[in-house]
Amino acid sequence: MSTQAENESKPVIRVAGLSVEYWTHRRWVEVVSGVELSIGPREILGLAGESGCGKSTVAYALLGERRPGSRIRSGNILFEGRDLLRLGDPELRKIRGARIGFVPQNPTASLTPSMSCGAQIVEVLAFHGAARGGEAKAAALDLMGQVGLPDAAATFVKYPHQLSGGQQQRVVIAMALACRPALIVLDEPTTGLDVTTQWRILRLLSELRDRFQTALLYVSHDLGALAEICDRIAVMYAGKIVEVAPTAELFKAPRHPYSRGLLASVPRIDSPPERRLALRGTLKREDMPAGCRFAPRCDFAEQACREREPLLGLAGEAHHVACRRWRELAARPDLGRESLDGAHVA
Amino acid sequence: MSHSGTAPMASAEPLLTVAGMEVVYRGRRVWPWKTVGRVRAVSDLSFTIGRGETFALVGESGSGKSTVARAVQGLVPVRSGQVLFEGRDVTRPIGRRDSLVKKRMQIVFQNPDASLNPRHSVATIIGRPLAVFHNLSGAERRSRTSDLLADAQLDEGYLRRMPGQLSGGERQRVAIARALAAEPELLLCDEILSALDVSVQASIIELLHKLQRERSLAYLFISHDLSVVRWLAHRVAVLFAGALCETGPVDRVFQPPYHPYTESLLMAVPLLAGVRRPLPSPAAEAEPERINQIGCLYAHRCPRRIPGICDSVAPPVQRLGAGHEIRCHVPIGELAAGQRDLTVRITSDTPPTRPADCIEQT
Repeated sequence: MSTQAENESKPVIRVAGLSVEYWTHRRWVEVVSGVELSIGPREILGLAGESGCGKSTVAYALLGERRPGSRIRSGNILFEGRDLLRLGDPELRKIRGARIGFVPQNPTASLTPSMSCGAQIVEVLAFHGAARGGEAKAAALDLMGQVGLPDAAATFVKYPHQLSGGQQQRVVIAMALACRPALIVLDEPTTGLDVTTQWRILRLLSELRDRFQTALLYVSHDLGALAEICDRIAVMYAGKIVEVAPTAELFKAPRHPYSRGLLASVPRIDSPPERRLALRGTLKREDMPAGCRFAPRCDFAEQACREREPLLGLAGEAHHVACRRWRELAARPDLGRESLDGAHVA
Repeated sequence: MSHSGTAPMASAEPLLTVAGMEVVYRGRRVWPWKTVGRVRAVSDLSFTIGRGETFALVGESGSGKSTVARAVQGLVPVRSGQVLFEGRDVTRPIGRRDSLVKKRMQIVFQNPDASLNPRHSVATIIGRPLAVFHNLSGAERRSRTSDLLADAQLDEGYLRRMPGQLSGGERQRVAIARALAAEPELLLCDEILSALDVSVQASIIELLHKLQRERSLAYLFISHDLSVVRWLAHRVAVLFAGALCETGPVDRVFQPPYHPYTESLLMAVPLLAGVRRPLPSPAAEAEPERINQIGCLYAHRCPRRIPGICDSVAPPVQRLGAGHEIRCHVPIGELAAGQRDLTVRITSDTPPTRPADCIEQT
């Protein structure tokens, strides 16, 4: 009994101190710095942030994948008792697609145009030795039904271009699920899909999580989509995680000034935009101070913020935030683009 | 922030009038007797845009909203119907429009990567319309270019940069600055925010607001993001498969009674409150494959379809006052029954809207 309870709470994957660098402008630039993450069984963790914040780099690292021109500087990623960053390609190939599924942003680009959809799912099953021949075909048909593709037998022989974007994404999800992975990494899976299609895909994903008992890492800049399906959300800024909180908590009481700004910037149908709280400026890696990386855009930054780097600290149950002044901000949630001592910041 | 209701409709003549527009993509003739890809992208569409007004077109991809912008600009041929700019018929390809019309009506495309010449510097890109439409050159042109960049909240350092050295948001600002260089009165914005981060989106929305206040610029704003449209537009039209479903002031269209399609779009908008919304009806789950060309185009996906009528007779226009129109066979009272306001957060104790409250007496 106790071992089962232990298994229940044991994270599926644990990322510790992950730092990744890219070779740009003839030097190594750190794009991900000291990221710590863990995803529990059947948990959907969202990874949010603006473009260029390093969220996709983290997603690829979870697959043991180094993107071209990048290198891992430090850290480890523990998955099923092994460190993915210390494994060679042959071992990683056995894990990718089998134990960790992947759903990329653009289904049109990730499906092979010259192979029928069914054959692509069968290929995944055969590659990992999960099923063969007629058995694999039956399994593929079953998967296509599970992901809500209409008339699986007809879709099996169709080519990707004959399907709509939403249906193509369903085929990719079926491939990711084929070998019953413990974890699926999704990189902006609904970007570029219609709102109605996006909604259906999100519903499908949370259903599949329950049915297949899979954990999900959902990477997106779309906070609306994240709010819809995630259990917890980690907010990234300039390569660092600045806040992690259960979804409802993050939307109700964001503690980091960046999260607050990000949430206020999202156009919402139920309330008018709050320019007062919205983010200003853009992420510029050139003028990153030694201390808090958000300081140049922060309305509440002090000298101490620019000098000393804030560490992730506890701000509530399962709520972590990396900001020196979160307590002061929490006390005055309506505070806008004015500094705490009242002086107006343009 | 909403300026609905204060829509400047003072001048009698609208800036832009689109009347009975039909656009057909002819497709490709693969055999003498067979054509592939023939599509009626827009059918019988009429709307007007006043000076200083924001008119939004919403719908799914494939609903024809981008085609409308392209047809208005003269980039795709209009099969029938008219485009009037200040009462003058300009229904002809852009090459045959006079330069005054071209100057006063500018377009910004969805993807700035494709619409900016990668080999031209920002100064050249923005300077071109200044030379073409305003005959500016030398120092005059340079100073005007910097002013325009400043309008788009970019500093002079950007003048010598190439599009490849800019981020997506910066490129979109350059594209907007280029469109503004002509000093248009109508800006056609085709999904200009969809590729951008929320923080950049917010600053571009703010820029659009500012320009409208200062120059009473009118926008045809095409977007699939109803949350943006709700707070940016004065009036809105909902398109499905190229046909108008519903139109009117934003506040009216986004409140019950809705066209069933508007309802399905609103239902799909994420509310950032962590509440789970009800499941869509199975009919609305159908992928848009077969579209009935005789009756209501939305009939095959409509949960309120009336068998025998919706799939054979074109839907009538039901007028609800204040320019609010719904094209649907289902009577307004019946539509309103069971529809609730989807723009407020749903709590377990929110009562369903009573139909009597929302029918406008005219």
